[in-house]
Amino acid sequence: MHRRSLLALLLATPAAAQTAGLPVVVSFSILGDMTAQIGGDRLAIRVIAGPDVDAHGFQPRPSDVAALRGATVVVRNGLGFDSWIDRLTRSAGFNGVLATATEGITPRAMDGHSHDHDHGGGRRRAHSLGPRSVPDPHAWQDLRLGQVYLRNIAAALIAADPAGEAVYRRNAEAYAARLSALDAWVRAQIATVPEDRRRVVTSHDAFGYFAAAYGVEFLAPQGVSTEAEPSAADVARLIRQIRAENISALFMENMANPATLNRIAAETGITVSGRLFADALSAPDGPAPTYEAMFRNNVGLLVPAMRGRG
Amino acid sequence: MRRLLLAAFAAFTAPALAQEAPPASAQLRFPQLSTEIDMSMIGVGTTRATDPAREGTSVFLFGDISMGLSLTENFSIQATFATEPIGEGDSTGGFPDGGLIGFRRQAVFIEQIYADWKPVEELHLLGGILIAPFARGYHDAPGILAPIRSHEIALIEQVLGGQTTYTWLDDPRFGQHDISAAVFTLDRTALTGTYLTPRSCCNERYERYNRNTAAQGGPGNNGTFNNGAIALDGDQMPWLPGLSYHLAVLSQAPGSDGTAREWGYAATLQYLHRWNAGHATTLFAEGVQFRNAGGRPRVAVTTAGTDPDTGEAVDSSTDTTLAARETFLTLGVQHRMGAWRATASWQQLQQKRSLDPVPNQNWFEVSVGRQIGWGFSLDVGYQYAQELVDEDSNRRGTAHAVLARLRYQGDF
Repeated sequence: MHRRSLLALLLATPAAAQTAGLPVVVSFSILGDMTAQIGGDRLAIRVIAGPDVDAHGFQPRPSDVAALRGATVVVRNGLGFDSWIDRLTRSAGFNGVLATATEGITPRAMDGHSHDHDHGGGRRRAHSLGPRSVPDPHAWQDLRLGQVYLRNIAAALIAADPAGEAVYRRNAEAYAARLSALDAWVRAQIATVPEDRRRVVTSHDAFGYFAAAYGVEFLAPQGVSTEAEPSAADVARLIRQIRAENISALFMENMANPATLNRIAAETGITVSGRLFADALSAPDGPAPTYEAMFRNNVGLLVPAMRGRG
Repeated sequence: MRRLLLAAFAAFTAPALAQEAPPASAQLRFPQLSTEIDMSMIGVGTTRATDPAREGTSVFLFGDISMGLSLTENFSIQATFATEPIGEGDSTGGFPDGGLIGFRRQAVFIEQIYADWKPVEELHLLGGILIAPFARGYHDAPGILAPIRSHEIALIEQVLGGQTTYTWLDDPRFGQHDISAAVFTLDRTALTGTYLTPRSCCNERYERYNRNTAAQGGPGNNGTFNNGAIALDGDQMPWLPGLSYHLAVLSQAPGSDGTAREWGYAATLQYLHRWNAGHATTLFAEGVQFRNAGGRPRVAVTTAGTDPDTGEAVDSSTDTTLAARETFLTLGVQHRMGAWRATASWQQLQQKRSLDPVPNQNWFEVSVGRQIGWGFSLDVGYQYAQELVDEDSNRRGTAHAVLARLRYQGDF
């Protein structure tokens, strides 16, 4: 109850801040929740990319620079996910404690060409091709690695506020225990799905760690752009893929057209519904206002969808 | 102190934190090879023209294959292999003269090959055969033939040297701003060879030869690193987030046929406005000017006269220099609606010359196109041109052409 109230206050607006406590700035909403769970009332947290805001390629506002000026701790994900916060810390002359939540994690590789790559404009640059594979920054999608996150965040808070060490340790221990229990619950839920049906088509590329940790295969939709409503030919191709690979779980967040979804449902017999939360939490009144709730929401949608008709 | 605290905290949570390293197949490994293809097959069907030689249909390839071999996250070797028609005449590699020409004088060559090092986020160092940081219409001008024309007039490629780009301002209040500086000379190594259509210097029907030589002249072709470019680029300014700018100065010493240093100036504005997830409009404007264009080359001028002793008609030839100022303007707009796009552009080439003045040339182009899947797109359009049709009389004529482009863009 206490946690919910705290989070509601924290996530009410992107600039949400408490009036007292150690000033802490975090880059995006999932880290905001983790930090709040560890710090409790001792922290005044500001989340830069708030609920439902995609932190990929996020454009900070001038007001965000001011927020960092008074901060004692800045928490970032790292691995290229929120590199914009490094620019913010430089602009603000930040010299407090910088916590990188993924420190110590050996990252998985992911396709760099489909990640944070915009041909739509921008200034002239040399036409150099970067590595095809880059570190996958979405490590929070594995709850065991989520515990590495909380360790790093707690260490930063203790370094900045030694007087609160006992509180941070106690909260972190309790939080780690809850994440362990949640990890076990996720595994138990996935285990109810036959192994050959643990396959999902999604336009999101954020589930590499989830796939590896929980044994679910995430497939990219063939021929469908993640940026625009698919054409009739694209949809036909997708339907062929669903039939050929005997898939019953489809999550396509860029498909807003009910006619498209209805056609896929009618021709394949599967239901396309629900939203997986990957890079951001929902608003406090949504289905995924916390890191733990995000997992419960996602697993609650994935498991019945994968079971499907069978 | 912080390390001690970390160690202490790690100790009490250790049992819960055992991390399995990802399997080798999922780990980040180097070297990595990335490839990007941007290749267009373009058809230009000239239905009516003042110069009958221009009527007919030309089909050609224009584009490049870029490769990046990343040896570490911050160091790579980059190469771009380009193909285009290299015949003089127009961008299609010659005139169809009422018929159909396909892939005539099509050549393949190395446009750039360089080492790329990013020691820190703000600093980018390049060394090797480069494209100078000057102008951007050849990459960004909207349209079918508009970027090709910009490519022919303003692209400074195959230069051997070094370039540094430094992000001197990166602030959410003011945007991101780079300064780039390059020092170079025209590359004359064997890497400048052309393939498929190799021609030795200096046949007038060709604009590119099998290996650059001193004999072909031209600015920057002096074997000395006394040529350079400085550019300012910026974007992500909060008051107009879709706006980007490019300002550049180029200076190239004369080659074997020149007498003065060529100066180039470029100013570009591009604005991308996203109306919603499916609709976006891009405005593009660029002005490029070359003073002492061509390095103020020496030219022979022949004048007809009469021998004062014999009264016979005689031609006399004198050596002089050609002073020229070239100004090239591009204006373009493109609107995207999902997979569809509509484009309009105008380009003008002004040439002020001390000898043989030539009229301004104009090109108007409109086109529509769409993505057709698997990386391919198709555009069809129309071009109205007012261009020079007779080098001797410097007469300007008109031409109407139907355009089509099948383009593939992909990376793997």
